[in-house]
Parts: sequence; structure tokens; C-alpha cells
Amino acid sequence: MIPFLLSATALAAGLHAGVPVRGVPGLGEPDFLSPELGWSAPVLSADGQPRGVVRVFVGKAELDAQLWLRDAILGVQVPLVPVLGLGDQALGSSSVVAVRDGNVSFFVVLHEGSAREVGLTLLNAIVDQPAAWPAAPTVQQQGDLWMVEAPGAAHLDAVGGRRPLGEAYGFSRLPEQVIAWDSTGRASVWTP
Amino acid sequence: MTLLLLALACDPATSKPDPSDDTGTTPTDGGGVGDGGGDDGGTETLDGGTETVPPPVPSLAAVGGSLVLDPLRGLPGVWSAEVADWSEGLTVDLVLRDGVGDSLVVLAEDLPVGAEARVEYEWDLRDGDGVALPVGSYSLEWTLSDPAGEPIDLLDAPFQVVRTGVLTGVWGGSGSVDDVRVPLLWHRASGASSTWDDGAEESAFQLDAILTGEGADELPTQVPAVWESLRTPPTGWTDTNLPQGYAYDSRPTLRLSLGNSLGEAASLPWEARIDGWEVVAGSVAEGTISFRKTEALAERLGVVEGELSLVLSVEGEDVSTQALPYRVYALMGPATFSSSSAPHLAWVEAIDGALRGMAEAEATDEAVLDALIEWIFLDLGLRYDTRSGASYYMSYSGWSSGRFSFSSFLDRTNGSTINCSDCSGIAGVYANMLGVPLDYAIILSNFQLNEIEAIGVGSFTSCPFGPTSCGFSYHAVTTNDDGESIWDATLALDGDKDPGSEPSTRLFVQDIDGEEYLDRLVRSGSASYYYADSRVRIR
Repeated sequence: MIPFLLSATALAAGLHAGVPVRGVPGLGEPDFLSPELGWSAPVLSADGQPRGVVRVFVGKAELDAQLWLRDAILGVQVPLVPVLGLGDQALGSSSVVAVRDGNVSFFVVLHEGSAREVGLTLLNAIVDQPAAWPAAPTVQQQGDLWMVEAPGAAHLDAVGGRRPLGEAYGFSRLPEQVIAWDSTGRASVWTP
Repeated sequence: MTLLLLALACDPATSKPDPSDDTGTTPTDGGGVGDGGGDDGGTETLDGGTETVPPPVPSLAAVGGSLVLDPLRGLPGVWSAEVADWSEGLTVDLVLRDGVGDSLVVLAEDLPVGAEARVEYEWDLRDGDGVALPVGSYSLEWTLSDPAGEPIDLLDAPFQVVRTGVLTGVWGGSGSVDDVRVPLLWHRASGASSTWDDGAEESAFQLDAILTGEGADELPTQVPAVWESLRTPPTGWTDTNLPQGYAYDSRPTLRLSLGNSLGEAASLPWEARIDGWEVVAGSVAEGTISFRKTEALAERLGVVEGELSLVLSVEGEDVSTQALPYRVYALMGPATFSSSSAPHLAWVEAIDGALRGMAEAEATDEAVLDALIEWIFLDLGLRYDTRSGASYYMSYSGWSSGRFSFSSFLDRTNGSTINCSDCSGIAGVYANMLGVPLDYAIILSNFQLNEIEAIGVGSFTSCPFGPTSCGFSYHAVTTNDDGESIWDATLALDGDKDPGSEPSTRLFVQDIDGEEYLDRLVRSGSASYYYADSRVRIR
């Protein structure tokens, strides 16, 4: 396993709320992957064209973020080297950087431009509020349907189940998972 | 409408009306042609005199025509009358009567009966305001008149007016082993999930009624064109006709429910047909009919689309025709991911693109994978990441748990630059959606390369990241037998006898023996297959 360099950071160590899934300069619309993998967003050039991608994960503990970072760099075919001055841990190359700061980890890969610059933007975008982890969505039976509710969720998704055509929140067959994401990229999961 | 209504030569139901009918005409009322008064010729009598023999009186020998008519989905009604003992100057009048004999309208007057002794009349069953005849029993009364305008014969041609049409259509469900419907998924849904799938059980279409409007605005409801969006599902049944997924060698079942309004015509011997299909259950009278294709859907994978033509008929006469647009994706079978739940199903946008884009292949796993690799390598506009060889769409939770962001990939949200993990994900996702099982394998680790042509690069090199970086820390490929056979869309190998040096000959990695693959790929270092039974997951 590639050793990680522990580096000092001006940002506070400890538990963060995450990175806003919308509104970070240079990033496009988020794609919510899974609770284990986090979310991603394209990195856009000045003219709006994609020049790479960021993947962001918020763990409930630092260890979660460390394990995520270990896996995030699996999909890089060139060796990465430690990078100084980015979060608590960082590895990278000119086009790739993988960073952990407290319980937040992210991975940046670009086919154009400096990954380090995007990494710094993401570090600066980390927020600590709201501190409380979002509540899991609820699923309640109403008539023939199982209705999903997740007030305040930035994104809702489900695995499995069946929805009648045109039914936005009602399932005729229970899903295996319902996942609610909050505005800082934290996922809460309902399971039957 | 393509329904052809044939005029009946002679309808046994055609009847001579009661002479006391309110038209007051009888065939032999004494006022007709030939009732004396002219030199009509004659025959000699026994006493040597001459007896005048009256010429035969013309009459309606036969009146025939349409028995059952659907003015909205059928051809116009066509009736004809044949006149016996024709003479010059005959005319006919046509009166429409309702089921109890009351006159509704005079449709035609003084139609001349030509020398062919036959008159044909065509009517679209609409009045002057364009209003179609309502459902019911009617008759067309033919009155033959002499040159003086005096009625000499009269016949009725009864007929029925109906409304026909389908309300719902459902593919599959016969339970037969060769009727394998495949669930399809749309990946840009809204609400509680970003995907919506038909569960291989949803209707293709559901119409509220067979008609819309009233009076002159009455129109037959059409089965909508096939739903166009490949990514967004409909939000309701209005204008919805979902495409279907099927194993290519299936004989699909199509169950139609009818919303017919037939009146007294309901008791007639109705039949329904679709060319190339057979009725396997139900009937027009029952209101539900199941058809089954008589032959396999296709000989190989592809998109089968067009319009079925549902014809309803009575006693061999076509009454109505309705177009049923359809699109069926002919696949190897249901998706072959480890999970059978959404989103691990056949995505409409993916299979539509692959089936239309790939070269036509034999319906074998290996042939489909071969075509898929070439399509990905040559046609998708992808380019290998020569900066770091990093993944833009694949994420791992450990090597054996790769998840591919397929919806992002379809949109190229992160661009068209990819690496080997992405390519193994792309090949794996498409293959498993087409119903061809395909795993990925990881080749570890840190080995130097022979000559390769990376996807989108267009030239061979052994140092894809520049002159000082001539190896992979890992490489991802795909296999369907734990690494014995390899497919790889990331790169083409040097296929000549010396894969380590130029010149190089492009060799697509299509069903290449696993050992040969490593021999051609690896210049030096240790390289072995790991995790070779890992199947990609998607979101």
C-alpha cells in the first residue's frame, strides 16, 4: 500500500459537515454515486467544457475517509507521490490529487489543468455546519403504495423497488435502499 | 385507414320491403314501363290475330354492400345494385333508414342506371356537417324508378355501424420459455429515484378511450408513437407507448384489450388478425385478445421496430384497421449483472445506442463481445488518459467492487478521457445490459509495456505517459471465464511476431487467450490476473 504523507493544514482537523454539492466554483452538477463512494461532479473549464472530475466523500469518522482515500487511488495507472500542503493526507501527480482532511476525502483527476488548484478550491469549500448528520428518509405505507419522504434532502435515490408510471414518491414494491443526500454530500440510508 | 371494404355481391339479408311501405312503391303497380300503350312487339294467336307480349319489367336483381362499418377506422361503405331486364332511362334513389325503418335521410336521387345494369354507391357515413353515423342498425333502401320517375322496385340493404379500437397493450406474460421479456430502465427519472423501469410487466400503452370528441370532432384515438426519450420515462400514460425488451429468439405475446362499441353487431362472428401473429387467447367478443408472434423476433441482436396492423373483420370482410407502433430491443436475454434490481437492468439509452451502433453480430456471447470491443474502441470518441492513466467514471471499494458512473458516462459529463478501469466498466456495462455476462479482471502489478495502441491515440507506443513512464501499475480487462479469454477495449496489441518493437500490427483484443494477452502486453515485470470474476456495478 502506498504510504500517505501526513501534512499540516490550516484547515481545522476533526469532523466536517462536508463540501457543498452545488456552488463550488468550477464544478458542474453533482452525481450522487453511493453512500460508500460519495458524490462526484465534473470540473469545468471557463467555457463550460468538462476537463475532469472530482469525487468527494464525507465519513462519519476519519477512519472512513482514510479507507475511502485508499480505494480512490486504485484506479490510477501511474504511481502517485506524496503532496505537501493539502489537507491531512495527500497524494498525486500533475493531473491527479487525492486528499483527506479530517473526515472528508476527495479525488481530483483532470485531463487539462492543475489538479492541485482544484484540490485547494475543494479544501477551501469544506464546511463544518450543519454539524448533525442528516436523518434517514422514511418510508410509510399509504394505500397501495409505499411513500418516501426525506424533507430537506438535496437528492433522493433508491435501489430496487418499483414505482408505477408517473408516481414520483410512491413505490408499489419496496426498494432495497432509499438514500437521502444533504447539501454537503452526506448520505443517510433507509433499508426495510 | 387501410381497411378495404368489399361490396358484397348478394346479401341474403337483403329484403324486399312491404309494399305498404311509406314510399308507396311496388314493383308492379301498373304505372311502370311496358304497361301497354306502345308497339312493343308481340306473338301470333291461334285465331291469326296478334297478341302483344309486354316486355319484362326491370327490377332490382340484387343489392349488396358493406355489412358492418366503422366510419372512424374503416373504409367508406360501398353498396351496389344490379338491375335485371335493364332498359334505358332507369334511375335509383337511396334512402337511409334506421333500425326500425324510419327514414333518416335521402342519400341520392335519380342516379342513372347505365347499360352495365349496375349502380355503385360509396358513402363515408358522414352527414353534410361531417358527423359520423352513431353506433346502431341501419338499412340502405334502394328504389328503382322508370324513365318517368315512377318507382318499379325496391330493396333494402341492412348494415351495422360500430366503433372499434384498442385501449391497452401489454407485451409478454404468456409464461412460455420462449417469451422472455426483458425489463427496461430509463435513467433520468425524477422523484424518489433517478431511475424508472418497466419491470417487464408494465403496459406498453394505456388509452383512456377509443375515441375523442363528439359530432364532427369525433376522432379515433391513435396508439401513440413509441416513446422517444431514451433517458427520461413518461410521467403518465398520455402519449405513451413504451418500447420493449426481449430475448432475440422469443416469440412475444401481445395482449390487447378492446374498447369496442358494437351494438347489435356484437353477436356477429368477429375475428381479429395481425399479420405474422396468431391469436392464442381471447376474442373480440370477450374484449381481450392475446396474439403471439408466429416466428422468432429476430435471428440476431438488433432493434425491431415498425407498426403492427390490427384488423377486425366480420365474415371475412374487414371492418377496421388500427396501427400499433412498436419498438422491440432484441437482446441476448435479461441483464446479467450480479444484481437484478434497478439500476442493474438494461438501460434504454445504452442498448439503443449499442444495438444501432455495433456491427451486426451472430447471436453468440463471443460474437457480441467482439463487436462491442470494436465499437467502443473505434466509434465512441474516447481517448486514453495519457497524463496519469486515471479513471474518470469508475470507482473502487476494493478491487473486486468496481462501480461505474454510467449515467454520467452516457452524457460524457466528465469528458471523453478515460482509462482501463473505465473501459472495462464500459464493456462490462454494455455487455451485461445486452444479456452477455462479462466480468472484469485486474492485472497486477507495476509492469513494463510492449507496443500498444491506446484507445483514441492512433499510434503505437510502449510509453503511453511519455518517455519516462513506460508501464502500468495495474491494468483492467474483461473476461467471461476467469481470465482464460480476454476482451479489452482500452488498447490494441501489437499482433505481429515481435510485439515489443515497431513496426506494429493492430490486434483488437477480442477473445484472446489470457496467457497470449499477457505475453503481448507485458515487456517486463510480474503480471498476473486477479479478481477475475468481478462484475461491474453501476449507478
